[in-house]
Amino acid sequence: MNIQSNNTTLNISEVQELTAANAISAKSTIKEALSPDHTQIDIDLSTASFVDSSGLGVLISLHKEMASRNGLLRILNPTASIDQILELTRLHRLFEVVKQ
Amino acid sequence: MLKSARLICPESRSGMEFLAEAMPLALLPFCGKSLIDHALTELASKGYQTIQLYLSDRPELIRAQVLKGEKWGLKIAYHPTKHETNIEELRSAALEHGETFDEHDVFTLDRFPLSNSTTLFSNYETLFKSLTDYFPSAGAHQLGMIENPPGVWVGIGTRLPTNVKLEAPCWIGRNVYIADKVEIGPNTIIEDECLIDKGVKTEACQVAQRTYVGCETELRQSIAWGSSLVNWKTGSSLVVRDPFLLSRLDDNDSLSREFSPGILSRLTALIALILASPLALISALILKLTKGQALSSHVAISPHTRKKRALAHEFSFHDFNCTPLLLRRLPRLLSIIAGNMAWVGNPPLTPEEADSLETEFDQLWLAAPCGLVSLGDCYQHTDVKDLEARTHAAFFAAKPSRNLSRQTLTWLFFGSNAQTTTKT
Repeated sequence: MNIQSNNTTLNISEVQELTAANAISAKSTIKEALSPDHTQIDIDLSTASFVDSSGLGVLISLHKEMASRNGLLRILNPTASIDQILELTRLHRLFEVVKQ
Repeated sequence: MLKSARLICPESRSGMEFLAEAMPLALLPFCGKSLIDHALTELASKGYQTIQLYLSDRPELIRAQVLKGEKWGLKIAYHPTKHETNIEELRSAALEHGETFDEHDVFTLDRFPLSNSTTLFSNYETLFKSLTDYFPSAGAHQLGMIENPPGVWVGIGTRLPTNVKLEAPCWIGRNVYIADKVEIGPNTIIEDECLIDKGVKTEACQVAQRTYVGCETELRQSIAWGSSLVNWKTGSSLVVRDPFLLSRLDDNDSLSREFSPGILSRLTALIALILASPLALISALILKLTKGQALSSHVAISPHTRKKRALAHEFSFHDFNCTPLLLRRLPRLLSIIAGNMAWVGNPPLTPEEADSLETEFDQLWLAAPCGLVSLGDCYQHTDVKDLEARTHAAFFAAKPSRNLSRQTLTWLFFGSNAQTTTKT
């Protein structure tokens, strides 16, 4: 997972998967990288092969964190299977999903 | 170059919530087909080859019906959106990505047909008037519909006794059972697979697919959707509680199909209970002697969807008053045998806890059966107030799989005691 800070945006890319195996470490790594100046998290899921319930928990937790500071969590280019999970769990209504 | 259209599916509109609760407006069935089916047929006949579908309300249901668009010879691309998108948003998104954009190729699925100037969903009266204007032309394009006598459209497989009174214009769909002495007045639309019982009188009304209308009932200026009744003239609505008057034919069947454990699961639970009964009896005795009470009783609400909330019922189940999870949940085998629980499901909720689930995401908790064990148990998140518990429950309900159930059961038998010991 690659994390880069760009002014007020935290860009997260090269996520291989977001599952129970790495959810806790991913969440703590992202939260450590998050500074008070950040108002947006862009998480690129174009390379992620799988997201399970723990992975969704991470995304919801980050969304809540950003909402508490009037910020935004954006999911960029989710793969078809992840897009489907977001749809099925109605999370596409909660998150900003951006496809390019 | 392929001719492409953008089709925006409507979200719930003000004043139409009663119908939109049952299904996305795009899937409302009119004259034997869903609204989106009519629209895609129309677009295909206009020469469009690819359709970009913008969906905000329950996209998975629409996707399940439209699939890849082979039925219409179309290629469909899906774009789930947070809210109902509009032409301006589509224009700016297209410009941003350097795509061509022509607003004449953008349609919103709130007109019938799409080129019409009257919106369907302003109120129930416009909805009903649009329907009655449309159905004479719909019949001419549908296989299995016969016009006889003029202005009366009847579908194949429909039983029409000789003593029925028919007044044109009216539409009676396919496989409808009309009992004796029924009077079907002008501007009545009875959709497919309905059962209209003896002595029913109708006028200026629509009866949705698979609806039962009871003996001697009179329906005027109404839209009947299962047990829901809307007066299209006044906009008032109510849910009829008496299933002998008005009900959806498959409600109870589908509930049991969707949520009850299969016979194999129940049989396995019975065998497991017989095998574990010596252990259960000894445990009950020890707990009674040491703690005074062997069992703790709980009340839970059966799973239901928002649409079928009225059919939800409460049931009680028991747990042993002890720590090891496998032993504690042993009495739940009785609930599986009774058909109230599954081996793997979501944690049971009390009616009060169920009421606290507010968002669509949260309410997915109730879209899966209550379980002896749940995905949340594996991660020790089962409290309804816990965000992670709600995530596991929503995930399990939205994407159930045998693999996930197998993993959860494996955890119950081989991982739960280890985790309980660690926790202790």
